[in-house]
Amino acid sequence: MAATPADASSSSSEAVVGGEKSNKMITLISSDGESFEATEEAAKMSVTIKHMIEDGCADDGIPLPNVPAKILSMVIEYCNKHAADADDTNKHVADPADADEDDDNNNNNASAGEKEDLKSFDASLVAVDQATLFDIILAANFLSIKGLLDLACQKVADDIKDKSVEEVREIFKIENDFTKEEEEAVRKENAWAFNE
Amino acid sequence: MATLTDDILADIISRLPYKSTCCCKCVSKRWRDLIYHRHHRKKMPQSVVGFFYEGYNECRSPRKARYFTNLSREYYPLVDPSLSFLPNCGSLDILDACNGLLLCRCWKAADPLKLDYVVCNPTTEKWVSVPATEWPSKVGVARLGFDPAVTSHFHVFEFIDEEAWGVPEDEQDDDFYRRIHTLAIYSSKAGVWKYQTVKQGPFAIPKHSVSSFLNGVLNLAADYNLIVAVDVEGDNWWLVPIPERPDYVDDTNGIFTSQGRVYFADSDRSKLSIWILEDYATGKWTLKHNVSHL
Repeated sequence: MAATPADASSSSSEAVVGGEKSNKMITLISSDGESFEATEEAAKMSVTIKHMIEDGCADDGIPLPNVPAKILSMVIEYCNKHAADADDTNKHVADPADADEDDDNNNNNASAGEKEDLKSFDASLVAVDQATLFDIILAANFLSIKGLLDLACQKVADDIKDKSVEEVREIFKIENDFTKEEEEAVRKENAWAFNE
Repeated sequence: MATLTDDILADIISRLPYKSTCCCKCVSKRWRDLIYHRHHRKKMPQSVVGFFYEGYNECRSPRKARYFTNLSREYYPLVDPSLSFLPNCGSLDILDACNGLLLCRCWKAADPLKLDYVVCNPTTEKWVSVPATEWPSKVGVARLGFDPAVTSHFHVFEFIDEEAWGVPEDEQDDDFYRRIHTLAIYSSKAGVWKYQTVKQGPFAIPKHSVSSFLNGVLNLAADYNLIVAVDVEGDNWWLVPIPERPDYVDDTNGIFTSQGRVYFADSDRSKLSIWILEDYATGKWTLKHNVSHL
């Protein structure tokens, strides 16, 4: 189910994933005022949203002042894809209270083909520019979506793994604030890491 | 561009291999302080490089004390040298260390006469006990063989000398005091000890003999300028004399391993010589470095 901007008044009888869950649609409002619809199931992948729903604050739509529309639509895409997958074994992936060693986006009952599909979906979701990736990380952090946070953080780690100090600064747009002496000292201490 | 919070940044950095983490320390003050900060340090990959040492002093209490020093710049993490995570251990001796694991001899708290070997990882605090043989209290030389690059299983070697084995005094070797009679090898995979009567030699191994485990072979310094090497199955033995040199001194303790090879370091008053073992079978050494002390 694609996440498309929709009016609050649009019909809410979208297809349901997993017959036992409610059909209820949740409206999420981005920081720039766009509304998005998602199934309750998908929305609950965000622990933050899950708590708001449980506290009864979701009825008029949930405003997310920290998340711009472009990012919110990607987040909802992730949740839709993974909610369908995680739900079968009743494992709530996103809730830290339920988290155990083999959580995250892997449903043990998923076929190998479905797992591959999920993996390639995840990979393409985070194959974006650094600025967008950082925005996804911040949104996943704010919304408490562990799987997405892990995915995006791992992507950043993979990107900087073999980079030089200067390249890392460039990626993160960081200014070198060491004095010449401080920089020499810290490089000397870690000199072995720079040798091939 | 959005700024990531400290927690998120620490999460990302903790996913990097240790070498990359060291590069990250040089990026900016914020990154350096983050990586060193106590709160985040635990998540970061750490390699512990350090050593345990024991001191004995008649005039103080405790007479015997054990310490651990971390050789890395941060002097952290520190390992508790009492290894108090080992249960039921009244007192213990650390016999050997190999690639991150320790071989210890423990006296049971409940029964001071009962002795066990324990193999443990002092940083993860995981341990296993090795079924006791008759020998731990009598055997001077027990060593650990462990190579995580090859397998997660380890071996314990016990070199049982004639006296410990119970050979009558008049039958013992006169030239080699406490000649090694039997080798016992424990495999953690098989879970049993294998014994073999030592046919090679004769040789004797001093209690605190320097040893090194490499490529499945345990190398030990033995008396009379010999290096004894044996593999984990006990099938292959090599007795290699140390390289000849003009001043004959009985000191084999210069043996060490590095980058997959066995070396011997030999020092006299004027120079330091480093030899590399070319081949166990022929016992051929090549002089690699000669450094003058002057």
